[in-house]
Amino acid sequence: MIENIRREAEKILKEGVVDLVIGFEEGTIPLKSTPVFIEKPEEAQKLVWNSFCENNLAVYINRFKDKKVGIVANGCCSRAIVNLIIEGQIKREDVYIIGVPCEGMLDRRKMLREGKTEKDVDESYLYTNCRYCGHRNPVIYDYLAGEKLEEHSAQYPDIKEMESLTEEERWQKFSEEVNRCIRCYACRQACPMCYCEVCFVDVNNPKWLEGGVTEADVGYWNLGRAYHLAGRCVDCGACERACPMEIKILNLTRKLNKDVKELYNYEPGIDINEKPVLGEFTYEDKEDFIR
Amino acid sequence: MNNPYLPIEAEVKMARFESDDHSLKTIDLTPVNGDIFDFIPGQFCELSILGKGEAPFGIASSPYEDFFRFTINRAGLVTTELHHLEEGDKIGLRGPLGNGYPVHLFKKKNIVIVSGGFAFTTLRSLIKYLLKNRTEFDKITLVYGSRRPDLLLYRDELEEWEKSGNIEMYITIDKEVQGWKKYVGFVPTVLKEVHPSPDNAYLVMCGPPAMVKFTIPVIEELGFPPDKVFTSLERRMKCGFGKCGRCNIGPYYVCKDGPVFSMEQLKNLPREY
Amino acid sequence: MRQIDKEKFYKELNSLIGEYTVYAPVGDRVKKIKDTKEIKFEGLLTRFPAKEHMLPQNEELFRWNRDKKIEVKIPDTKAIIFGIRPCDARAIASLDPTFNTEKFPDPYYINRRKNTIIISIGCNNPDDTCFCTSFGSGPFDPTGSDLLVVDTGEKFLGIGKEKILDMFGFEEGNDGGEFEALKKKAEGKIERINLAGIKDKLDSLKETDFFKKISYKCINCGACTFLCPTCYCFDIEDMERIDGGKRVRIWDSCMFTIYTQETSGHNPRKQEERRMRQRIMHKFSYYPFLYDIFGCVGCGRCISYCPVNFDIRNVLKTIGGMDE
Repeated sequence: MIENIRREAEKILKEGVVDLVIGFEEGTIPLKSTPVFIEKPEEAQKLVWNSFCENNLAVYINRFKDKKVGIVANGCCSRAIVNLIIEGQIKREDVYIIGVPCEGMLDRRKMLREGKTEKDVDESYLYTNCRYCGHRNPVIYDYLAGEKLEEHSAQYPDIKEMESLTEEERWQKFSEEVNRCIRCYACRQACPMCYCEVCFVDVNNPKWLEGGVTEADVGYWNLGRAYHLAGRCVDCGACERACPMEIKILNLTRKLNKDVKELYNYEPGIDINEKPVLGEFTYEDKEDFIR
Repeated sequence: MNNPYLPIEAEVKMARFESDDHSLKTIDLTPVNGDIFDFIPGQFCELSILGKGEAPFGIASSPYEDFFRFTINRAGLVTTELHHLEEGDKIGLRGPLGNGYPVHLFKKKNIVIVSGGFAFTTLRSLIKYLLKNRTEFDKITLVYGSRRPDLLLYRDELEEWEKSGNIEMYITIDKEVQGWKKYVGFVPTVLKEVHPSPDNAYLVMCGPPAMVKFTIPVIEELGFPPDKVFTSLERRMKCGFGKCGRCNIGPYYVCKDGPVFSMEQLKNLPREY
Repeated sequence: MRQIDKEKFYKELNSLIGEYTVYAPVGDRVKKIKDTKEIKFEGLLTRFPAKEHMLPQNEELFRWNRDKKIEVKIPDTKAIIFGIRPCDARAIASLDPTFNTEKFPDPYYINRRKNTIIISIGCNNPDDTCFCTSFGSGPFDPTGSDLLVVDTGEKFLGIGKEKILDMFGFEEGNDGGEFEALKKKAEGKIERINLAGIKDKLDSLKETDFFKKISYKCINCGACTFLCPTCYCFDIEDMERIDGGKRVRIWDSCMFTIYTQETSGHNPRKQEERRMRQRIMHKFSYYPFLYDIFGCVGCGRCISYCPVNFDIRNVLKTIGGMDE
């Protein structure tokens, strides 16, 4: 499959279909692939695709507003692109998508802690959201680089487990995670759906929250961001993987994704002709949870 | 140890609007305890509204007056609060900060002052200083312009200086207005017409980015060498004395090594303004 | 070479808790400990550098009550920071020329610094992201520490101030060349990047495309700056409360887009490449120009924790390889 990706990237650069291809190349630290921006056809040989391509490349598309961009996209990355099109941030004709069916990314930090190397690549180290992924194939593409994989529907056993805890246990779990937050905003910057020019934490009139790292501040920040993603999050996990303090942000976002699926039967970023679920309403919408 | 983060308490002695649209307000402050501290024209102070924040303002009064004068353009949170001040209100003040104009270099020289809009504040300080020590300096020329007559600062003092004959004044507005008897035209155009000589002269320029952009080529054409041209830069500032790290251009902090820089110094720095 | 039994050292350190506030690595952060049993070394470097105890993330500058009367509290408790690595200790020393100045001295930082004893521990097993030797330093460099200890298994070897060595009871002894052997072995594991002439080469780059290309992949978060032991940029914020309020100093990052945003709407560093240029020039050109030391100690945290694997070593090697 990697040969297909490289060949296609070289082709679209040579033919001038795109000015630039965004993909992954070999990283400089163990078990990591890093984003690469290829402008010359011969550099297409640098592209790789493996179980450590954990970032969501859709964050970079809008950096190149004046160029036509090619992008190597797996399921969740293509969903982010669909979402950006639905929300009017990019135009379909400005992206050329090299679709890549994806078997999931491995938790490199867990592997490094256990002293594992590339030889120990094993599906027991899959990230939770990759293990229960419902969209392993890209939902939109101009070229498909490999054979489609069998799809299962998205599952949420990790969230169901959390839902069975008592209120005190849930608060305990939430505080433990979120109190490590240092407000570095790596989660926000890594997320393709966080594209606001001025984020709500940076607005100073009205001042929604202060700059401190007290329990109240970090709690508000993490919850606020999760809620702003409800109905828009594509479950790529880039936020949790970017977090230098290893906070389980997905506990919050996946819960909201599960709720949106159950209440409105909607998964974000599948069809570019759909409207965002929380951006419009129909009279048939359920209201029984509004008390 | 002196704590440079602590503001002193200052009382508002006078507050008046400068412009018809109330976008500019001038306030005079005196410290509640103690005297006016000494400073050099061109330095600035950080004015504090406890609970809202701090912002830097160039000192418009001269070191010889018994109050600190600031003119504030209403733009954001802190400046809006400052606009609500009345006589008797108390705010915080930190200063003097920055390096000031190099007045020691100006002795026995001709001085050309070019300004626009409400950037004129620190130049009032400079002019009053020069006038107080008038015999130490040769010819003083002022080219000062604004969009409309009511956006010119300190209009009563401008009249005074013109009448005294101590400064050659060229006050201009952008567009013709009924009853206006002085110059009409943008500052760079008027400066070109005035054509001051660069011989034995220093030039001080303080204005909005748009004016500065078009004035610099005129200054170069007139033949002023870059080490004799000074300007005052603005940046977002927080601490005011080179510790918080945000206002630097190259290795120099606008708050500590500036805000007054010569064009010669700026030539070698990254163009981040 | 002065040395002491490790057990004896820890016993002595334990007895100082109370008179001193003692900070030591507990897992991934340097925390306040009540007993030396809590000390846990996890990996080589703590995730967070010890700078959070010299320059806290949230530091109250002063507070005021309803009548706007201001109250200041300058920190004055005695402290010991133990178990940080030599690079972290050197990094704290690199903050001195910025904060401990003659004009406008920073009383909060200066008092903390004066009242803190720094005891670092040498790195017998450096990581592959370390590059401290590139700065003329090394895994056993005592610069910036009041005392450096080296773990030989049973004992700690000690290099540092006489007063501190005596305080713990280090005795004279012969280490049998073990210090030199450990030092050589550790230094051999560290990559040494050639930084000769880096400042001049950087200064000549100025407006070129170089910074634009390398900044493509940076997502402009603050992970590298917050975890960097030499970064110190801060913001000052007023926090209002029902009965008054306080003015607080909080960490900030030059990588954030709004770092230099002015109220007028103008932002001199709106483009990503300008912010990247600022970070690299500040650490490798401006800081050496002002204070003769680099703004980087080669700890490698930015490399390990960058979400997109931006590697400063590659940047330095590329610049080092350019002609002047």
